[in-house]
Amino acid sequence: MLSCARQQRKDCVTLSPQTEQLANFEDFALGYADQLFRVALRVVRNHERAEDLVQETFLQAWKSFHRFEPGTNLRAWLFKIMFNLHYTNLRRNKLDMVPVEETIFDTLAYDPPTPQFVTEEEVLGALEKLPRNFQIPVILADIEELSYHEIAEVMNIPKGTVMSRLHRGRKLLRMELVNYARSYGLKVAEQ
Amino acid sequence: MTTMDCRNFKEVLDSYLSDELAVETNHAVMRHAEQCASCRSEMGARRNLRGILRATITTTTASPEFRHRLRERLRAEAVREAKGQQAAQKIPAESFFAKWFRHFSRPQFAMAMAGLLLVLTSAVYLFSSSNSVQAAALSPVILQQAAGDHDHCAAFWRNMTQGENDPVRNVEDFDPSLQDLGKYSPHKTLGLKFHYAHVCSEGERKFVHLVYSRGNDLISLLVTQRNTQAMKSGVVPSDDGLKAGLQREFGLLGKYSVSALQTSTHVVLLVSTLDEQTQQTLAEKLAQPISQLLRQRGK
Repeated sequence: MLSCARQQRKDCVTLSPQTEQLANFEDFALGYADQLFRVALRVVRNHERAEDLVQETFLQAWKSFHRFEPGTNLRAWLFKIMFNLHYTNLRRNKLDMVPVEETIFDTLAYDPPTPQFVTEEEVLGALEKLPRNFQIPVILADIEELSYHEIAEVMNIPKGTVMSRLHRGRKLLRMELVNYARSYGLKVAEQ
Repeated sequence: MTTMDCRNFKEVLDSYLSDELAVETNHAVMRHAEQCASCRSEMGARRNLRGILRATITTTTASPEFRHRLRERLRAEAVREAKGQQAAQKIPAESFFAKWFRHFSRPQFAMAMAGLLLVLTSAVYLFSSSNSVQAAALSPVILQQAAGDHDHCAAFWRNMTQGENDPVRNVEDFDPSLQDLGKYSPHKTLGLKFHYAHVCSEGERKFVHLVYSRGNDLISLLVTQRNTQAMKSGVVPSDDGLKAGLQREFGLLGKYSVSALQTSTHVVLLVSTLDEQTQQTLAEKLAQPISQLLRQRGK
């Protein structure tokens, strides 16, 4: 049996199909590990479970990578797998997304101006206070910059629902920041 | 032409910032902002809020340890799949050595053969007038495992670059004395690029695996423990095998060359797709210093 090098073949460093395909997958997909992890952390609210969810997502993605069409949106595809796994886990554990009082926010017609100066702590604090159903779309749209259409696909909800949750989520976030600004103003005034 | 009031502007402002509006509404937003200072200021404030939000959250990243675990897990999955497919395709004809080795690994045979071998080696030793001790040959299994490890593993670490002196990863549960091998490897003088050092296993054998490249060629330096399973005879001889020089094997898994050096405790293997001469030179210059280092440490 001749060694590949001695035959002077150009494909000398050929890999087995799996290794080649995995190298390909790693090049493309693992670049999104940080984004998936950040969102997973908000979704499951636990560091270890977030890592588990991301690992599960990549394993699932690797298994169905042959079905992925090059040229389509890999990031949205990965997010969709992650949310599907999350929903399955919720069903398995007989939990469900916390039902949200969607109506009460309709009455919040008041929309004060957004504070011009906010700190990172205030923004983080305000985000933490958002109900999860509003928080996740806001993170996907305003931080990870997914389109409304992609969020609908990823979370498996109608685009109209995405838009209303975003509208309310963003408004709640701003209101929270206004409250911070007010309490700060009061403190200053007291002094 | 659509006109827009301040209330409408605030309603659609976030969708404008997300680039989700129809062209016409987009224009209306921009026209309104040009005319209305308070809405311009609101646009700035919301843009600023989004910037802070992004800056705050994007500092959270997956840990390097998790990324490492993830890669290893994916790699294991790919190897498992590859093996499953190979087994499903065809069961390859077993080589003479593999058959022999399999028979030998049965306990009852092992006992009988060990006894026979002891008698034979003592006889050879008694009748031999030479003082030089020949190194016992390595089992073909270990050479196959080394080639397999290179095939399954080296390509993954090709794109990874550790610092030149980084210790071998996960060496704690294998052989901690091997953690600084990269430091003693003379790869720089040989024009090799060092990529990654870690512990991995192929079959049931654990290797310290150092991955290098030169141009398109991938080169693996593997160090493993020399035990009875590593030896063709199943007995670890007392000599360190250096006197017999390199043991070479070409065309493993169809394309890999393996060169091996033995110390009394370890086997150092070099795997590549290089031609015979280059492989030989590299083995002498790269694997030999490592095996000599291990030999000194073993004393």
